[in-house]
Amino acid sequence: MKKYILLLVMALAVLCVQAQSYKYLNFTDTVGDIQQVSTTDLKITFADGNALVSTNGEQKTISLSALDYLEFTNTKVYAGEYVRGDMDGNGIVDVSDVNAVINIILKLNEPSDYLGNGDLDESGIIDVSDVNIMINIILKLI
Amino acid sequence: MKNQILTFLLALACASVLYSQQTMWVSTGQVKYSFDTQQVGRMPFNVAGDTLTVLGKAFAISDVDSIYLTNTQTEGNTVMVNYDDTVAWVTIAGNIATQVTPIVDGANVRMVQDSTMQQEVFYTLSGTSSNGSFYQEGEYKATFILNGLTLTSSAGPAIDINDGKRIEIQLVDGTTTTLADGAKGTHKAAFNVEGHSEFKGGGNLVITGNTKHGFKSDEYMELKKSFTGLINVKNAVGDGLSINQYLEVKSGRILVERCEGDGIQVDAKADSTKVKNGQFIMSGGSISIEGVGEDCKGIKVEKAVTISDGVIEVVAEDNALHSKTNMIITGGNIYTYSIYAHGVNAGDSLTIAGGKIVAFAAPTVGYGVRGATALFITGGDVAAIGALVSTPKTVEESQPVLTYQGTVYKTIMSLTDETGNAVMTFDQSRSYSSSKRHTLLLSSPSLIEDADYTLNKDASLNDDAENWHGLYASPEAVIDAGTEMATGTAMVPYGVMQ
Repeated sequence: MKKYILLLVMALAVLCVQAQSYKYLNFTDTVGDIQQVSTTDLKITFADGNALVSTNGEQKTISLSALDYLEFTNTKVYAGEYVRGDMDGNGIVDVSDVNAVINIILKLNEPSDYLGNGDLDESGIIDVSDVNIMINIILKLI
Repeated sequence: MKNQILTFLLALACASVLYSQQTMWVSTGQVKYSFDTQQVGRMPFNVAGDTLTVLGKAFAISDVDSIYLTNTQTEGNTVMVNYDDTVAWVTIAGNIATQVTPIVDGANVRMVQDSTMQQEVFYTLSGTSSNGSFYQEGEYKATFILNGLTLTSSAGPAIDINDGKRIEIQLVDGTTTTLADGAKGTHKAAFNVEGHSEFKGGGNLVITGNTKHGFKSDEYMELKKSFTGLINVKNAVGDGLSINQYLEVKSGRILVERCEGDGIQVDAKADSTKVKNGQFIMSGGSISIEGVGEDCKGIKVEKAVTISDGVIEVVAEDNALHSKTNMIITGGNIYTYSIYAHGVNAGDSLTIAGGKIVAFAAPTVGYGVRGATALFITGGDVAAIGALVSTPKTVEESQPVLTYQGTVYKTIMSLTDETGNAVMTFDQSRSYSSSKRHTLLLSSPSLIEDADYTLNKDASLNDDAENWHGLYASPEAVIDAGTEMATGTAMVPYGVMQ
């Protein structure tokens, strides 16, 4: 118990000295598909129904039609389709995803199509270390 | 275990007060909104995709020039207005974006606060424009930080605050803010405040009122103890400062160089229950009135005046320091010079209980010091001269007074005791006709009741001697006491020298 409290304190202390900034901006459409851009040197202008996104020296055009919302995040989206750690496909990492992973570990559920999203340490299997990483994502520690 | 829990709580508190260091900017023409990225959450588009909502603020995509990020901290509840010649650039903190509406036309800025706003907004004004203005409307207290702003309005006030609550005005240290309004308008002042104004900071504020007053506060005006700056009215068509309810000066400086009305006018509110209604209270700081309008007063107060400290120097055509009711002076240094009327005038009783007062009144008609119903002198160093002075009345602890009525020369006068020591010396520097009788009143804690004194003219002084506008209280000031012009006995309420 002592060890966990000390670990939590250290984690919070790290949080204290970290700059609070997001690495990514998600453009999520009405069917949940995400186009993610880096926030480095990010600038967005609008023309002809499109968002013209300039970031990190690259240009991207995103149609505004069918766009649902923008959201900042530190969670990287792989392959432009799924949110890493998102086990139920709702576009965010939350407690329901932790439950889903635990159920997989306890063999109460079969891995879903989102298996790759649960293997957060890319070890090839879903285990407790993935649960720890997922908790850190929820707590915005990473 | 206890220590560990305490450490945990401390770390939690640390985390909870973190500021974001990432700001999202939404730029729309001359107005930019700054949003803390930690606060914005989901930012939805509408179905048509032509509106983006951020923290409740809906932006038409067609109005958005750009959205970009900076690694800077966002300060909530702030509005920055920077004037740049013919335009003004406005920055609004995102957390108040839904409650503060900007209307910007060139360098004319109007900020309208929603009546639901229940947080104080901090407005910072800076930059320069020769054809601009600032207007604010609200129903909650607000702060205006003037950071070296130079603003001239071609029509209307330079700054107009239509907010009836507590308005704090901060003059940033080391800066000078210069304001001027348009001429021939219908507005009240170059700098107008609907509510009660409180001044803080150490900067300078220079005002020119081309239509009417230089500064007007529709409710009380306070110069707080922390105010070390200067409010300087260069010129005004009306009063230099026009204040309703009360003026209280604890620190700082007010200078009215020239106006065509009264230097400072304090009026009572119609609601007589208002606190300190119609009063002028001074406990520090300084006020200088150098020139007022024809038949106008220097400091004109509708009700009572109370002065316990500070410096007042007033030159006026009419009464220099004037209260419609009682005036009580317990300290401070006061110099008044009336060209055509009274030096210090109270419409009811005048009580002088301390301080240094030098009062010059008009030849032939003016009273040096006047209490319409009574004059009480219980302390202070007083030299007053005019056609007349009020006759002091006796109260407990009255201080001895000497009066002289006759030809008053433009000369250094000394008052010597029986041993030849000069207990008071007064540089009577005004010309009064030798063919008419004028009245001099002298009083000081140095006077001993029932002691005999000689009034002399043509005394000579040490150049370095400390004095207040020619009133010397130290015997060391005099080199030669001069020649005798009258003698008398100091008495309570007064003795007469002949």
